Amino acid sequence: MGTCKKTVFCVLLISLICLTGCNTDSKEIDERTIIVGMGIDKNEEGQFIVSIQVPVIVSGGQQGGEEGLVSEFETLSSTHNTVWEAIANLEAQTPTILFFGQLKSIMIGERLAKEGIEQVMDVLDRRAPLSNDVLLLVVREKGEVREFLKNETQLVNLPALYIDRFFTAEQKLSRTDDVKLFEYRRDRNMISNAATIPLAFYDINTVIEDMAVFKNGKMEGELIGKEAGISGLLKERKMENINYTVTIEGEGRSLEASIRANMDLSYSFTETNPVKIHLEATGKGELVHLETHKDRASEETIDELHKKLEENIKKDIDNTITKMKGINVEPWLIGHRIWSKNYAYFETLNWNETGWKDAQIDVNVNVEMEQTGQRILPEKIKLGR
Amino acid sequence: MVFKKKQKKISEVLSYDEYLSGIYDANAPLPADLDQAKQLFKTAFSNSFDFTEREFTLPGGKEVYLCFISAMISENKLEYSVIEPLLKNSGNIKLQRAADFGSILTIAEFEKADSWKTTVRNLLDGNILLYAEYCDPIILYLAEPLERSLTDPTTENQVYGPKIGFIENQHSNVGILRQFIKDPRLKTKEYRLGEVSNTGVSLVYLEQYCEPSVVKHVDQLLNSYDKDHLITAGELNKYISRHPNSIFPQVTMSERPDVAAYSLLQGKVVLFIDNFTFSVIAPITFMDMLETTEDHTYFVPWNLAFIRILRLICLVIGTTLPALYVSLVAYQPEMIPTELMISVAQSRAQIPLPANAEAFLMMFALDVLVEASMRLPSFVGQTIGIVGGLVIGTAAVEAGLISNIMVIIIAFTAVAMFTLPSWEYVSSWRIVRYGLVASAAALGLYGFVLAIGFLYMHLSKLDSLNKSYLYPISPFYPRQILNFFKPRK
Amino acid sequence: MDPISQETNNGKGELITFTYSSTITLGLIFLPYISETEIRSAWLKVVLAVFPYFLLMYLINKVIKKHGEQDILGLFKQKSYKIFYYPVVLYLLFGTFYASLTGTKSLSIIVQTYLLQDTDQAVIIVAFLLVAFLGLLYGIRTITRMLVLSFLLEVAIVFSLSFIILSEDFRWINLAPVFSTDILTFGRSILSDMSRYGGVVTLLAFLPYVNKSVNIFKATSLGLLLVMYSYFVVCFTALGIFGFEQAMNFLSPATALIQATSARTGILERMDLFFLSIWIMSFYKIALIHFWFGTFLMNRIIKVKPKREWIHVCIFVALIAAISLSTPSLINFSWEPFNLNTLFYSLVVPMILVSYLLIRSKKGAGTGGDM
Repeated sequence: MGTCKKTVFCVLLISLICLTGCNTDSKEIDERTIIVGMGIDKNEEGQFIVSIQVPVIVSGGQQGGEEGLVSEFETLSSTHNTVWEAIANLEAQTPTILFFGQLKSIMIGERLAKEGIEQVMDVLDRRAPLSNDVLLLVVREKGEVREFLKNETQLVNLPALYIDRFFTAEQKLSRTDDVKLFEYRRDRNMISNAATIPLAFYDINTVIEDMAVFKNGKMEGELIGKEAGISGLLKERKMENINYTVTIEGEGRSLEASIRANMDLSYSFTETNPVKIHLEATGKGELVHLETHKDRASEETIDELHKKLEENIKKDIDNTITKMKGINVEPWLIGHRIWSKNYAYFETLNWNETGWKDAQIDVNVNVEMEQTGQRILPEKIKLGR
Repeated sequence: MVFKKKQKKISEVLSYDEYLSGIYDANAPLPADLDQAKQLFKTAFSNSFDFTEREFTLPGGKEVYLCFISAMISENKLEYSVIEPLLKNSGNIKLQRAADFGSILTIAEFEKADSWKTTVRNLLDGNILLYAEYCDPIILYLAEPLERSLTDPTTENQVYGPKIGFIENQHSNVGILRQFIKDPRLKTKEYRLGEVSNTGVSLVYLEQYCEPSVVKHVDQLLNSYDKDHLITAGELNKYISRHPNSIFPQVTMSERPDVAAYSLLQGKVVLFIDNFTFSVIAPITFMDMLETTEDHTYFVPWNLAFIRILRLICLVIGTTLPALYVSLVAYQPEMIPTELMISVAQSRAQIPLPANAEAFLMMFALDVLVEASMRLPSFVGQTIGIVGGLVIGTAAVEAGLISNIMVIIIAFTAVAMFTLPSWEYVSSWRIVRYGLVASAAALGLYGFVLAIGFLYMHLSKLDSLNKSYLYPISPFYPRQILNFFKPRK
Repeated sequence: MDPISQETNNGKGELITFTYSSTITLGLIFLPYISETEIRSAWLKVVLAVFPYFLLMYLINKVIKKHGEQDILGLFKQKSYKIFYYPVVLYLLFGTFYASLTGTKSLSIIVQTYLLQDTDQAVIIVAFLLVAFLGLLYGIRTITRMLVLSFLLEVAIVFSLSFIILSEDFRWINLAPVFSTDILTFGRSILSDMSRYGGVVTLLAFLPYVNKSVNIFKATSLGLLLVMYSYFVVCFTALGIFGFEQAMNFLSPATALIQATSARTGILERMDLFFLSIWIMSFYKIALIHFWFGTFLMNRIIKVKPKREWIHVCIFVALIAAISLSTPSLINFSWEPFNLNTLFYSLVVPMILVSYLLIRSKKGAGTGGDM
């Protein structure tokens, strides 16, 4: 067995050594420029401005210890007629190769978003090292994307990582929602070709809220504040922790109450032309705050509260729908539902042109108050002294 | 198959038989003429100061010739049980056949010497030849092997467990085992291996526990042993391993009788070799190498399960961690979480060496340290540990030769590996580690996975005495696997 | 030297593992939607496509019971004429070669896309074939053991994919409508998916190594069921997560699926690459199986002593290396001819073969002769 195996192993060893010598994929971490955030925008001349955010790697301070971990970052940008050329230009500005494997978020300028992002998306889609769960973000026009990237954020020192953490923590979902690359692609490919991407801007602090609405790859409108939450409800048919503050008349004065609601939604439609869509929103509310301690949540108060709440929610849903109808974008898969249920009928609707605009939507909201505060129970009545 | 063991031929000149035949026909009985016989022994043992002869005349006028190797016999017994009775009592009995001596000699065992060859063999074993004129030559079994008393096993430290270890005599070792397993099914077979060393080897197994095919296999292997010597167990191990060129050990050794006894109960065979204090245990599998008998002293069964799972994980970590590091850092950094990646990048920022060179350097340094401190007395060993671990490690990091992440990885690798009970096994996986790093350095994760694939294949190929090395994972016996982690009562 | 002969002691477990490993690799990584024309409900297709193979297994089982002989090809040689036997074996060899080639090629595409972007395909293929060659020299007994060793890990990964259904990204609405085409188109579409089960043809060579006591139909069907379930899970979840339009565009939807759904924070950031690494192992296994099948067939044509079998191995691997290296690296692989050929060599030919053997026996007169 000796000689045969020995030769085989020699061959293996020699080829291994040969392979090591000429492998171009072997790039040490320090030979790569780690891109954690990327911004893409257009200038007035119609050229692409690509900015990348890279952490500056300095070897950890000998004495400093933990200080070494605090890294700085650098934002580089370049302008060119195509995205890829701009990226290539950026590579020329760095001593090492650009590495997209760690890219966490892509920020798109509002101007570019309004002109259409299809071209950019194709570049992103074809790059294999880029994960398909990078976060997408649209940066409002009041600041440049480059500037947005440059701004140091509170708490997390790399702005791109801040965005990542922001969404990983799944907070404030009722105001905005994370959209990953593959989610955008998926929604954009659905029947109504509409998708949403969260909006962000920088103003002393980095603020991520509201959603930009896209149709056919172009930004058509915005969902602001509560609308973003309602939009989430309409799309996912489920929304947790929507906050409402309502004012009611009680005990001779107006009372302000804050309510948090978890909502579910169901769709049904009648096959008429134009289509009639019925929305049934049900939910459970929780009283988080009532003017003062003294104000007891009596039956009547609660009753009135939830009536008011239902009204408010219904109004918001109506508003949101009307707004989207106004720009003729339907980002909530309603059309898709009809399409998958009855294709022949859907064909008659001419959905993307007039079908959605003309759809009659009646909204029914039903909220039950479930809790009146978690820790205290001020409803008890004191007897005696 | 392609890989097969070749039979080796030993040189004719070195043969023991040839040497004896040069003096007298090896298989013929001793010459009837006493003087001729004396001459034969004188020639055979010329130039050997420890070869002793004694001649005397019996009262009846018969001449008697005794010869032996001086340090190996019991002189007292020779004096009181052989010479004295012969001189006192031989007058009234007619001595001619071997059996006639039975009524005179007071020793436990003797036998007629049949051939020239066996006679010399017996002398070399420390027995005595008694040749009286006109009588059958007889062999007196009065050998007193040079051996020490039972002591603590020194190489296998243990907390709980018996404090005796095997010694250099195979017969005594079999006796020790008999004390652990008092059952007639404990079978023993004896072999003489090696033309020159003529080493005694005993095969011990527990009938009905051990598969007959395994015993048969070992039996045939031992009977066909054809090297001229057998000094250490290593030679025997290599011989009975089916794949002697594999980097994985296919037999294991132990100095502790409880380990050997436990192995017998698991259906294994135990081999003892003269002049060697370790018992050879076979067949062993991948899983067997993760266990020690000491595990069974845990009386909480989950402790045993935990410790074995821990060892298994440590084995995997200890083997693959450096290679994984190299492939992740050099080829697939997208797999490292961003924060970690930034800190790795920071630690590597000023390092001139690429990650694979770094890994090789550190692994090599580690093995040098281990090898250097192994055979030194413990107080020097400690110094080496401090100098090597602290001074070289820290200094290398501070000098910017090695990144501190690499130091952590190598240190953890080393520590993880030492959780395995068998040193031989640790050494094997150490070599695997180099191979994995080499393939990871060549092709990143892809090369790493291919290397692991080949490693799997190699492990699957291995047999230990016809038992799959990966038993019970492959062939798959789920109950046996569970039993390994949590033995049933 | 070895007193005990190398017994063929492959039991039920080995047979299941072999069935599973012989076909899962390529089928899963390029699942769903790999042919040029696709319909939405790939998950339904993979479920339906398995049934002809159940029939094949059933027939094989019947033949074995009737003739008391597990070597189907050997039996065929006995019962028919050389003029039929050699062309069939030659065709099977060609089919295996084609499948092995496709496997090697697609491995290099996958590796080049996800792991080593700048590395030449020659390096990837040579490294792979080298390791496969070494593995092949170890023989079928070792290969079987190795399959068992890594089988559990593979199954665990595939089954963990089932939990994606519970993820919030999974949308049931993406699945509808289940039927969007007419039956004929659907049926034609199924044919291409049948090739995903094509690897089981290697069982023809493996069955002689299985213990006589094993119920072959039960074990192989269990293996096929596992494969079917794995395919189903991936098709179903890919459709639910990505929707039809996007899922169609991926090179490897299974990989994209893991990329999209794995937790963002963990020890490893990109679980898809981890999955790929395990899948490279799977490629290795399937290569071993198919290459071995190839050499087995070569041995049936030109018989050599066991000692000389490595010559066959060399020839087979060298041919694969030569052809895969001489074709361009990233091609838009045309799956249509491959699918048809796989279907033919893995299902139609064995079916005919087995039916013929059933007719040849005294009792059973063509139980399943029609396709």
